Amino acid sequence: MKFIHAGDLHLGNPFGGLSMTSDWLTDQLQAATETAVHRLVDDAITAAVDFVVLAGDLFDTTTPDARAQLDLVRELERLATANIPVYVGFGNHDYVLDWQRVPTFPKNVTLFPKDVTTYHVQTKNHESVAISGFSYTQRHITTDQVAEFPIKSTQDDWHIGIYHGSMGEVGSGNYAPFNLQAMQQKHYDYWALGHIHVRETLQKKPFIGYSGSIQGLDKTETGAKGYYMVESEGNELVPTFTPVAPITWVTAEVRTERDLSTVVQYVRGQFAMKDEFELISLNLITEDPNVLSAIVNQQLLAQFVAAAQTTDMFFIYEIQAQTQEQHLPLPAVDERYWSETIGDVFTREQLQKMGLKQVTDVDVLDHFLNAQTLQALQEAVKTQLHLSQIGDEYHVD
Amino acid sequence: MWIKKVHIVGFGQFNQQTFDFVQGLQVVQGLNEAGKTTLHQFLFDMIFGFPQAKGRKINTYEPLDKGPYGGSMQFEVDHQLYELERLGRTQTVTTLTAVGSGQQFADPEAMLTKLLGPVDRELYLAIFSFDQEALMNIFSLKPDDFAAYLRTLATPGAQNWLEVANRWDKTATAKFGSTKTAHRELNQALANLQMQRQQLQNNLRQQPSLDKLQAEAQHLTQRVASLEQRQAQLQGQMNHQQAQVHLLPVYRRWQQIKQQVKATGKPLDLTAADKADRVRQQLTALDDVMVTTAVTKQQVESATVALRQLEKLENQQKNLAEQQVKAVQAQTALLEKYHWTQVPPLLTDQQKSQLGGQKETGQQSTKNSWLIIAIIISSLIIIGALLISHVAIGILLALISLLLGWWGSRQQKTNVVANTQQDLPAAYQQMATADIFAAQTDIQRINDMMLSNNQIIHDQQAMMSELVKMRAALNWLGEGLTVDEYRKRLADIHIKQETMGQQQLQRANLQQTLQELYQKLGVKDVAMLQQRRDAQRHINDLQREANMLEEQLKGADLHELAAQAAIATDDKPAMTDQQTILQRIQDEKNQLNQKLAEINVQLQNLQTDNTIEHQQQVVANQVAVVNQQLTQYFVDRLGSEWIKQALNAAIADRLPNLLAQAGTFLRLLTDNHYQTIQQTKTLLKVVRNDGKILGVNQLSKGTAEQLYVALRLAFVKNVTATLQLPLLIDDAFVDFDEQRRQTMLTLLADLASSEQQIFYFTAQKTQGKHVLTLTHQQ
Repeated sequence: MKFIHAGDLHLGNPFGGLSMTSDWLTDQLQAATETAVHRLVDDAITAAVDFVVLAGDLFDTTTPDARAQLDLVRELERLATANIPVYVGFGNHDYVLDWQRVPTFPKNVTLFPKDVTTYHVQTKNHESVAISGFSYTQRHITTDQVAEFPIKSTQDDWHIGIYHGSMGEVGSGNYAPFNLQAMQQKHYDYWALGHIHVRETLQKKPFIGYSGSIQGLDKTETGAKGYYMVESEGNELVPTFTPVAPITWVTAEVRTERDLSTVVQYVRGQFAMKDEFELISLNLITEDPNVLSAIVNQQLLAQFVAAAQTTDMFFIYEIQAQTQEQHLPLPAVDERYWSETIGDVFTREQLQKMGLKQVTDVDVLDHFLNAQTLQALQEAVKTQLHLSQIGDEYHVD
Repeated sequence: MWIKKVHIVGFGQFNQQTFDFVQGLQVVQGLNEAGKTTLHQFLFDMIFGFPQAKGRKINTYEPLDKGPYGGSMQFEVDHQLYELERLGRTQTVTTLTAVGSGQQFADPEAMLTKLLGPVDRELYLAIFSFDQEALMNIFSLKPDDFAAYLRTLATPGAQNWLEVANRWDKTATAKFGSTKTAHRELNQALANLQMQRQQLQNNLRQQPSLDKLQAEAQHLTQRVASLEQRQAQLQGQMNHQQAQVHLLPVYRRWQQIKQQVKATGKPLDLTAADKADRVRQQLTALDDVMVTTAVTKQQVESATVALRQLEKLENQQKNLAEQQVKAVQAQTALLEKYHWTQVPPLLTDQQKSQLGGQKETGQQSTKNSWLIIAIIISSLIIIGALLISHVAIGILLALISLLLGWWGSRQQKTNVVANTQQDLPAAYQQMATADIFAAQTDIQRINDMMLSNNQIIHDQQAMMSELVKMRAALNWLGEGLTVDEYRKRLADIHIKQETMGQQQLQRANLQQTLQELYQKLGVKDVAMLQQRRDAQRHINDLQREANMLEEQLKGADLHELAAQAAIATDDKPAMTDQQTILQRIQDEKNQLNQKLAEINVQLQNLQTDNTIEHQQQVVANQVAVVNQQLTQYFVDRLGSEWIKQALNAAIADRLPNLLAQAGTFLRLLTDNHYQTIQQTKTLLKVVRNDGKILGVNQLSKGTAEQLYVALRLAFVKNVTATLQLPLLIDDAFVDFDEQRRQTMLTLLADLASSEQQIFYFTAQKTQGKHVLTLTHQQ
């Protein structure tokens, strides 16, 4: 018995957080998720898996781009040709508003309906597998869906739960909040979870966990991305992570005292040998005031973008300046005044007041109303303060 | 800062004049017009530079003698003595020299700013330099302003950071306007983003919906399929019909043949026919070898009888002939014996009697000799005829000779009778009578013999007819044949007849078989059979053709063909109708296929068209751009805000201190009439000694001014540690009563110290250590 557990494909979702890109990179980005899915299908066919489960968020929106849909259909058709059934539950991103509008999938694809439903499949080794799951038909599900799942029947050799959601107390989450204990009580052999983009194991045996997204789509989704190849070992189902994402988000640190004229070349040299394409968030540790200034003013990034070549296996999309003295005291007044006020300054209200209220773009708002963004802003302000402190004289603007 | 000395080159009424000042409280007193305000202004302008604009409202203190403008000032900061010189009002030449080192600063203003700290002209005016008029500001003063001043003044380096904060704010606001119409970087970026989103939305909206396309494609495919089915059906029908049309003659022919075949009834039993033919051939063969004889059995029997008769007759005849021969021989012998030429007749009794009876016999014999000869001759003729097979001729000649013989004998008799009557016969005449008599017996015998011969002849003659009859009866066997021959022939005939009999039996059998076969075959004879055979061959040919036709008709709906064959042959219109329908279907199908192709092209395009994705990426990038710019904006704004708040926080506890200090001063100045100063967000309030809280505008003018002074002094006291700017007070206490003025002076004296220089310009006579009196003379 062998199957693939994947989820959060987010097909059609662009790569976020890249303020400067080249056309060749754009092409590469657009193909990335498709490539990841294609690789998954390749693997499924090569490994002759018994079936594939996709735990939601195949698409990024309820109205995905036709090409994304057609691409998925094409890939699923390849699985159909190989007689590999696919079980799909839709998630909070691609929740089904209208079943009529769901693209025409090949016959090997079983879509879970709104209510928890169990399907049975026979493996090549004639094992009977029950697969239970559901689909989102609205953006948010505030109830625990685990209760709706049947308890594993003795007639089934294996029982697999497909669940798109996150752990949490009922009433506190919008994504079918569940608790582990309830899942455990179903006596399933495997819970294929979706929704969380970071690979995460909630329970080792029997496995309950997230395979993570198949392709990182923004800087928060760092590291290798892919799917779980799940194989039976005795009476256990054991997942093995298989990376397929052709583009990886990474954070890299480079320490250099090169000046502005040579730093780009030097740093690029550091990333010359890459197997898979990397999107790099660069922490440049330098004391060179010109370099620091160029970082702060986005000039260095522009230089990197300009220097990028189609043959590169990396792309530096942001640069943070980092001085070697990491913990400079904040200036002018006692540290306690800074820390006393930080909570009042870095608030959403403050952002709104300062002009965010003028912003209507949802993505931008989402970004800035995010606690992490406030945290990042805080760090950036500190860095800027430090930079001001150490280099009053090199302020460029 | 301690301003130790000023030298005025030319400023207002002063000309080449030097003043020395003490540290602490420096009272400058003088009557009106003595130059208190001018000196005050000079000090101020030395610190912050001469006023640049010359207008009616601004007194620029041009020297009254139109001489050189400006002067110099010596001051001490952090125990460093500096000499500042400013000459010329409009194009002021400023020099700043560190007296100790003699170093002249390249940028005196910058150095001055550094020495002055975060205090600029306005701030200085707001806090450190005031006159009675300035005290009126108390009515519009807000606690926040104080906070702002405090923040600026109470924290070393704060001004720098405030500048940073302000710069960041400035940078930020330069990037992001607060109005929607602002054409700043971020506004632009946001507008771009919105536009790109709009475009994306438009494109998405314009993008054909996949599910609809797919549904339509499916629908079209189904429709095409159904059309194709219909088409195939029709085509099939048409093909069928065409085939039918094509087959129709075949069918008709087939039917015709079938009918023909049917009409021929039972097919010829070829085995029987062959057998019949074989039998018939046998018959024919039999006929070839058939022994045919017309001779009937009866004939044969009668012939046999006749032959037996003939044989008997011939035997008889032979016997007779032999008897005749014997008789002739006996006659001859008698003739020879009696040398007679002829046998004399027997003697009549008379002659006998004459002679003794000898002559009569003779006569008789002569009488019969003609007949015997005739018989002999005729017999010979017959024999000869028989021998030469001319039986009939023979018989005729024989009859003639017999007839001649009979006629001769009659003549003889008559003669004999005549002779006897006359005389004895001649033959007797030479003979003795004895002999005659002796001869008479011979003659008698011969006569008897002759007579018997005659009888024989007669018999023979009688037999002859019988014989002729017999022979005639046997003639069919051959004429004039011997009995043996006849017998042989008859035997042959008999054999023949036997064979014929057998053959006929066989033939009859065959004939019967044939007849039976014929009957069975339903024919009468060979010709008919042949006819039938020919017919059958024809039928067979037809059958073969029918089979071939049937082969062609295989799979065809025969009922339909029959139906069609039944109706007239004008299928063409129906065909055309169908063709029209088919054409219509084809047209529709083409149309649908075209649509389908279009949809497929659309789908294909959708599959390969990544403009939407590209645009999405563009939007995402723009979002990133906006985020990044906005982040920078917020970093600036927040940084600025944070700096301000941190500084505020740092001075936050100072404001209450300040107010407490100011309260103390106010209490002092009002002789405990007012106790404390309170603040709300926007207003300052004072608590009177009766506990009543009064707003600033509820105070008397004097008290309000005292409150202001109290605040300023408290402020100055508060920031003394960090700022050591001289305090310039110009006749500010004119509204104070004498007691309060004294208290004020005491307070100033207390406040002044080595750290704080206070200039108090007053027109009133003032007691004190350091009083500089300005007079007109000076």
